[in-house]
Amino acid sequence: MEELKENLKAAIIEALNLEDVNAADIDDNEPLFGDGLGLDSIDALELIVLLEKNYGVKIENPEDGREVFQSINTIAAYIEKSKK
Amino acid sequence: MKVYITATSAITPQNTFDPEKYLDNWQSSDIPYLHALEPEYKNVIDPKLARRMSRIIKMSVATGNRVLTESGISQPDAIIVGTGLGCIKDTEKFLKEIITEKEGLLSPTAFIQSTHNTIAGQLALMLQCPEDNFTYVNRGHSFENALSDAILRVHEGANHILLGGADEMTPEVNNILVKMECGNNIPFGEGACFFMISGSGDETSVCVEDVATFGHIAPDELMKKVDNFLRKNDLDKSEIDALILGLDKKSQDAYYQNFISAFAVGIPVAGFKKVTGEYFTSSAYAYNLGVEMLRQQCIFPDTLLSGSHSGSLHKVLIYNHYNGENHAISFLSL
Repeated sequence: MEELKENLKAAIIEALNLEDVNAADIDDNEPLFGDGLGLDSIDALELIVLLEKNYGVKIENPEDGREVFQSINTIAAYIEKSKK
Repeated sequence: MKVYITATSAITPQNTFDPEKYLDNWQSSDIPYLHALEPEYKNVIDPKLARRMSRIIKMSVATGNRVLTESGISQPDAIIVGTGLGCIKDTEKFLKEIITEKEGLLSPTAFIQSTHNTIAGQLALMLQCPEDNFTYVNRGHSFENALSDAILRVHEGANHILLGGADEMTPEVNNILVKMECGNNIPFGEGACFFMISGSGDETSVCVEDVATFGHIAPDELMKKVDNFLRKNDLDKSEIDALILGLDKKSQDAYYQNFISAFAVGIPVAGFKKVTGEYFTSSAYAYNLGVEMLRQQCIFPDTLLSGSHSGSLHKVLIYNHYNGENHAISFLSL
């Protein structure tokens, strides 16, 4: 799970071109949208693409996105759950 | 129809962004085209905004911001941009992804950012400017058509127009343009130049007295166009202090040869494409160079192709053609 989280952080930094942000700067529980990393709706679309491309995980119900993309922990848990 | 350039900023393959080092320390290119000399963007664009911007957007936002600061205008009455190829790097990225992903899952950012009007749109979003927002994509006349629109807006009552011309080059586009023999024997380049166009100016403002565009003329037809332009502006050829031409070196190009020969022997000729290289909106830089020449009362040695300058500079003509197809003449004065 820890390896998945680190991998996820690196993928997010690269996909969203988060200059000046390192994986170590992102807390596993930190909100990704709003106050935390400050991501927005276009980033949400990029994250959907990233999950499908890198992990083969689809967000079938758009309503789930709000829950899934809360933090690194919630995304990692969703990936794990989807793979089972 | 006169308007005034009250502020300008340029990013080109030479030092033009920093006013203290303008055309200082000449740069050479080790790639097949002239790559823009870009500033440290972290100092001029919020990194949170910059992360989605391609180079053409960063160059445009940096120069646009500089113009807004220099002019003291925070809310222009319109934002008008000319670009030949727009955000071509993001377009390439998006098209390549369509192929590699077999038209499947595509990243949205490159697609969203790939449209030609992203430049003007990005500036409007940053300024929260709800006024007119236009982008002209007309090959070698993209900038001149944007300028003509800005002039018309001023004459319709607008006070200040943020005007720009920008294009970026990529290795792929350079290869295609070279194969198509579009460069008129001038290496391709890239850059962004922005201006504040106002209805009135002060003693440092440069007046755009007139601009004329025409297409597909033979070299021997050019002089009739020049004569008409001069007559329309009540100008005698002997009044012109310098020429700014779309050249990078002395050239046998018949259009430029004819143009130069119409003026006094020894008239100073500055070649602006020595700075920019060739691209659809390179002529935007001719206006930036003209403003700096008139303000500083000098012809920058690295741009001087022929003739010599003594005395003051008051009236300057710009002439450019893109590939013999898109011709433009402008008259600047101080």
